[in-house]
Amino acid sequence: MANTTKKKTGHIVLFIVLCLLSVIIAFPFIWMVLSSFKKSEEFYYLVPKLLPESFMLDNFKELIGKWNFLSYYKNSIIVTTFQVLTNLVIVLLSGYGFAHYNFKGKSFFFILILSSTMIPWVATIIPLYILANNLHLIDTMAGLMIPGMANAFNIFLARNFMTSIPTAYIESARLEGASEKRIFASIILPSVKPLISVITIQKMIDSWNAFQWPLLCVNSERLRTIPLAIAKLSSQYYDSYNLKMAAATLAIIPVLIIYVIFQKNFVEGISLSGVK
Amino acid sequence: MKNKSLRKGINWMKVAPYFFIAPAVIYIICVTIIPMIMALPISFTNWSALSPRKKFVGLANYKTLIHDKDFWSSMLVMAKFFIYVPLVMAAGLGAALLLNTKTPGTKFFRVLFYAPVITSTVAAAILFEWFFQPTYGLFNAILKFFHLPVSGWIYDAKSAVGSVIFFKVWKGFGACMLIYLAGLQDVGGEIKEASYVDGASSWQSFWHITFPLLKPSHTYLLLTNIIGVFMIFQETYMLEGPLNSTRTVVNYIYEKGFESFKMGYASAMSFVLFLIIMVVTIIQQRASKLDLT
Repeated sequence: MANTTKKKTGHIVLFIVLCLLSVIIAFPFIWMVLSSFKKSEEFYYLVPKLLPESFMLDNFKELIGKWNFLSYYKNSIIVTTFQVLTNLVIVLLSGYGFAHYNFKGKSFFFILILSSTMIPWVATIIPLYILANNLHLIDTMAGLMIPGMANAFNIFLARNFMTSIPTAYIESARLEGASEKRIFASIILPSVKPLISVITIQKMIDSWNAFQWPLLCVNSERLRTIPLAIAKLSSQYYDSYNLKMAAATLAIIPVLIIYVIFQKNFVEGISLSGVK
Repeated sequence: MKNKSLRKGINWMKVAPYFFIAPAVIYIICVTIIPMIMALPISFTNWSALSPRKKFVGLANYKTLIHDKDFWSSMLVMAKFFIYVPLVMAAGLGAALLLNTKTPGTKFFRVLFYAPVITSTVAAAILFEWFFQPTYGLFNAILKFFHLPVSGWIYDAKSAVGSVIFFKVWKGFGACMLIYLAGLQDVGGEIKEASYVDGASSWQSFWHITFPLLKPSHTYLLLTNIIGVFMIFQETYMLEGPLNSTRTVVNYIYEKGFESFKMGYASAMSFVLFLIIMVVTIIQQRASKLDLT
């Protein structure tokens, strides 16, 4: 009896600690959203206030009107959509190839892909820039999109996931005369739905937040993505905290919404990757 | 007819896997393998983005690097950032332990604690830039409210690295938490239960049983976070301290390569950094026998 009361108070204390922690973690986001409605002067009060004096939309209007934020949004959406789709195609095809076929050079190609995940981007980014420059891809949409077309680690993930599909299924479909293409489309794809959602969400967020390569590749304003626009805003308008908060809100909120809707897949992604 | 389709089928069976893996292999070769092969030769030239001419200069870039004070000071800045690794792992482990209980709402807390991980570093940094503002910013207002000494945060060379680490821990601990939670599920409750029966206090049972059993999680997080520190760029690009106090090696490589257009020299620096990262990775994997395949 005494033990259960002790356990109960333990849980209550724990719950309070977790709530306090949550406030600390969530506070920057709450502050950001509320501040994006503030006037510039409101950032210069000696005692900052959480709530804006009035919920005015001027900051967003300025970002969209004067700062052309909608076109940056468009660029980010184009790049993200393209890279999510190419990633799906590349990853699912190769994952299946490595999981269910035996062919000459299989382990060589697999090790090639696996070892590429260990090469840090710092080592390859300057040669990649020079390569793109020689191919006249710098400051073009193609140049911006190509280096992020697939995630090598996802290939590894897909191969592991697809190995669990019984070979007997595939063999029997083959005996019934189904083509390799058909087997892939009607047996493999439907059975890897969790994998598809995990790599889609992961890639979506990676592409949306991508910064290093876009920073090097893009010079002109018409190709600017959201993170680049924010970096530009930060360096050019040193004092316009109101605009910065509104821009950060525009960048972060869509990702947070997608994350909350699909949060289950993030946890699954960790367990799928088998890293513990 | 039957014969023909059979023959076609056999051929296709042999060719099919290459079709399946071709896009991936071509992509990896173009985007990672070729650049990797190019990296060392470029570092032996004086390549500059401004002129198409490039000249072989041998080891000149590496000789310059040895005497470049700015390079070594950026190495020192990077070294300071290693404090981040134990901090973020401890925060992640703490959060995981708090959430590995039957308290209601743990799922909600888990989702919330992971949220900073998925947000754009650039956008989150712009937010903290204001929090760190010494006169009007939020953090000093909070310190003043509790009558605590205020700080210059990123605007003071002495506290700049610490401030960026603070930001990084807020942003990154959720990722460590998820890995530790997965690890804790493997450890399970039974061993812990047994140790309670033996009369171990919960601190003892954590320190002597749970903590060592989490070794796979520790090694994985140690390696990925150390490599992450070697490559800190976005945070310090956005939250720049005065007097180059937060200029890491990658920031310096960016400066040389893409602001001064000395790509040969920048390449030499990134090759050195690459070698360091590889050595650390190999040591780590040998030490932990981490099996990737």
